[in-house]
Amino acid sequence: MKDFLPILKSLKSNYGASLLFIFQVAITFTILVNAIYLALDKRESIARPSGLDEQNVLYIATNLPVEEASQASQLDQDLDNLRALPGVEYASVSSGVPLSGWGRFIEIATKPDSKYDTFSGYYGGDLSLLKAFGAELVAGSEFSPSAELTVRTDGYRDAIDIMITKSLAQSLYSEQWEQVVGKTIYINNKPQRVVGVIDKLQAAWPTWVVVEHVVLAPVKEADSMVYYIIRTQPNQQSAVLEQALGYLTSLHGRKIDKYETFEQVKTNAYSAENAASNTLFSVIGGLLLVTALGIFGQSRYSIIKRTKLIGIRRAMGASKGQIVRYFVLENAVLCAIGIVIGIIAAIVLSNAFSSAFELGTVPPSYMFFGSLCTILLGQMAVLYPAFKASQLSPAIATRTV
Amino acid sequence: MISYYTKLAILSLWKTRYMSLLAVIVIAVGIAATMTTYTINHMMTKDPLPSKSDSLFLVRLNNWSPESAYKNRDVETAPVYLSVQDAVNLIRHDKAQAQIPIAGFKDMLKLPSQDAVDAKMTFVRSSTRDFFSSFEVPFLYGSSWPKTSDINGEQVTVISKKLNDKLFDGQDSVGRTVELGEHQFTVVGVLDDWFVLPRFYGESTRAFKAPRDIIVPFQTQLNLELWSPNLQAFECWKETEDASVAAFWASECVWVFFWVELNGESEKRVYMDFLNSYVEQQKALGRFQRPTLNQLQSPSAYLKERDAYSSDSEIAVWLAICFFTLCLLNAMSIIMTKFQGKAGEVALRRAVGASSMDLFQQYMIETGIIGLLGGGLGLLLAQFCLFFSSQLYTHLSKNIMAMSVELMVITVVLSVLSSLVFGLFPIANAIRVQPATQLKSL
Repeated sequence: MKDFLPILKSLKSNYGASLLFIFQVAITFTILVNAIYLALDKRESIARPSGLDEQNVLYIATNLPVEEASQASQLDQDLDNLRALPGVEYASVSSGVPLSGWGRFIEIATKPDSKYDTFSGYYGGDLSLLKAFGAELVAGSEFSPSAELTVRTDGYRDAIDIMITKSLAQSLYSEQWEQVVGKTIYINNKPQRVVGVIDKLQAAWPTWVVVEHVVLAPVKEADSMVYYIIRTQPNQQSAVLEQALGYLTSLHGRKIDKYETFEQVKTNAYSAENAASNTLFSVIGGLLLVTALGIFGQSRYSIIKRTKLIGIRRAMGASKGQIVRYFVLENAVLCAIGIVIGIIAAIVLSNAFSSAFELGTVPPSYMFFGSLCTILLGQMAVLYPAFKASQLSPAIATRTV
Repeated sequence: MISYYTKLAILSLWKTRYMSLLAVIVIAVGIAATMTTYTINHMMTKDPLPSKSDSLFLVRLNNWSPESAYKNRDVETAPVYLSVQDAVNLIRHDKAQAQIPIAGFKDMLKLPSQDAVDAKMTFVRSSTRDFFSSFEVPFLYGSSWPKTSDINGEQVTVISKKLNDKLFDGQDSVGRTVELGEHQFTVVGVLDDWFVLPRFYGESTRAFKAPRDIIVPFQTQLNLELWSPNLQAFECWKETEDASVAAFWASECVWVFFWVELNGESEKRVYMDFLNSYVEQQKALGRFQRPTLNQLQSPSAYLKERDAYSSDSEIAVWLAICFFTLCLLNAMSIIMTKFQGKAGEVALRRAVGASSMDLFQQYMIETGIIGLLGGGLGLLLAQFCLFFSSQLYTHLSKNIMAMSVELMVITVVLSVLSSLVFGLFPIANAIRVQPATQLKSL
């Protein structure tokens, strides 16, 4: 620690280079903290559970190529045949697919004829839809078989019994969310009875604020376009998909609109977030590299400049370890000053970002870990030049004085 | 003198080649990061049709339920799209320079000679012939369909170059037939490469995707009752008569984007008057029971309202600019180290009569060359990064990831200028040497 004063004094005599160094550390810190925060923020939204059995669910969008009157029976026949395929656990029809970007949203109110309290996504299907998604009930019970209806379009208007997600229940009744079971809520001003609460299920739009709000109703929609949801036994997806397509296309006039596994749906849904977070991570990588190079160059510079001084110190009896310690400590001091400036800059930048782009502000823990990383980076980059400096021969002092 | 200094500079660069290379790489990385993010952001937020941005307008009419405002917003706004009947009425009145409904459907597309299994589900755009003239769409073969096709709803189509390459091997396919579902359409035109970014005219969520490959008259879609409820977003405040497509066409459901071309304020005023009188007239028939909120909205205002621009790309630019500054500071410290070893040389040159201005010039040329090399390398890196981004950003059209010549020139100039500015300090530091003290130690 007795090196501390000489270091501060040498900073004064060499302020240009020191300032440059401090500046570099401050900027690195500012970008590092903000970029990591942004990147992890994206990662978090990707990692949210969808509530589905993600590895084993697939969907096929297709038409019902029969006359209007027999579409409902064609739908039932399709479902029976799909369920009979080997490897299929559950097959159901749904009015939409979570995270697919295409779906229906509805207005929810706890009182009749009032303005809505919140919005929610909506899926209507047969009794086994919950199981076909692989979602779980946390309160209440399953639909009774008598609740199942078949309509042509807009099933949410006809539903009698519904299930809602826990997140939706909490937004309506906060802590007492379990009491929602048995209550009547109003969907687009139509009264419907909540029979069960689903642990987790996501609506169709990944970036929606209320993506976790979902209403599920036992109302099949036998429309011109239907979504068959198939949950397979593990590792059976491709085989089941092939057979299901084979069966479906055997009917004349059938159009397969689209088919995807849920993992594909999720990848597509988050491709923007994924790309952004990958870009941010490569920025962070480049940043660390460039800064390490910079610190390395800086340290070399300050050592070349002070070759003679080092020689003198060595000649006066300083050990190699003391020389290394001096430069390491100098580096730490400069980094620390840079980090203090960096923290202020990072807070300013993060506030600017959050007000300009509707983002959260960087939490203090990031500042702490960011400082730790920056100090470590600085120390790592200075080690080699400091080691080189300690190797200087004391005799150098006697030359050219 | 300049050529002599350049020679000296090159010699000096070679003598300190590792340090110089490091400086070049650091500048190049910074330049590449900045220009990559800037290019993506620029392409995403640029004016899609600069020549028409003052003359194209989205027509918005407040067709919604008498009981509640559209989307229950605190400040009432009109829906972004119209019902079929309003779109048809506005086309029939023909009061604007051009009337461009934006609708569509999807169906299985194939050649008549192909088997049913080869048919591909294809998104079809439906509009009027004004679509091509107002949006400045280039034709490779043929032309847009005649006005009679719009009026009668004839089964004609214009296809993209891409689709023409796929179906007809790139030959002139005018007069040939394609099959959409059960209907046959005659090709009247083939588009040349056409890309409008952002694609302002349709759903804002697809603003960065390629335009659709096949375009048919709006009236044809209506006549043939081609409707895909899971493609085109639609909103209804009133239940339709029954579930048929005809009832949907006749309903109050809104889903057709409607653009008009109006040149100058006076035309805009006249059209606004027309819209007001149209809505009044409809009100007399019992429709439009909400306050009149007729609006003519420009493409950029529409995109902004619908939040089409992602803030991610803008944040990335700001981060990249910070990063670039950092790279320049790094380059500065490297150049400083580089010049540090030159103290003796400086002293010698000063002692034999070179003024500090001469040295300044010489070193400026040297840093300028570093900047130039950094810019060149940065440009290459940026191209690589853009290619990489186009693989990564699968949700964006590949055309976003292209740099214009202007941007390339800007890149190099920016690199040279910034390295000159950031070289000032090291140079000033280097030439401040006292000749006497240095010469002693030689």
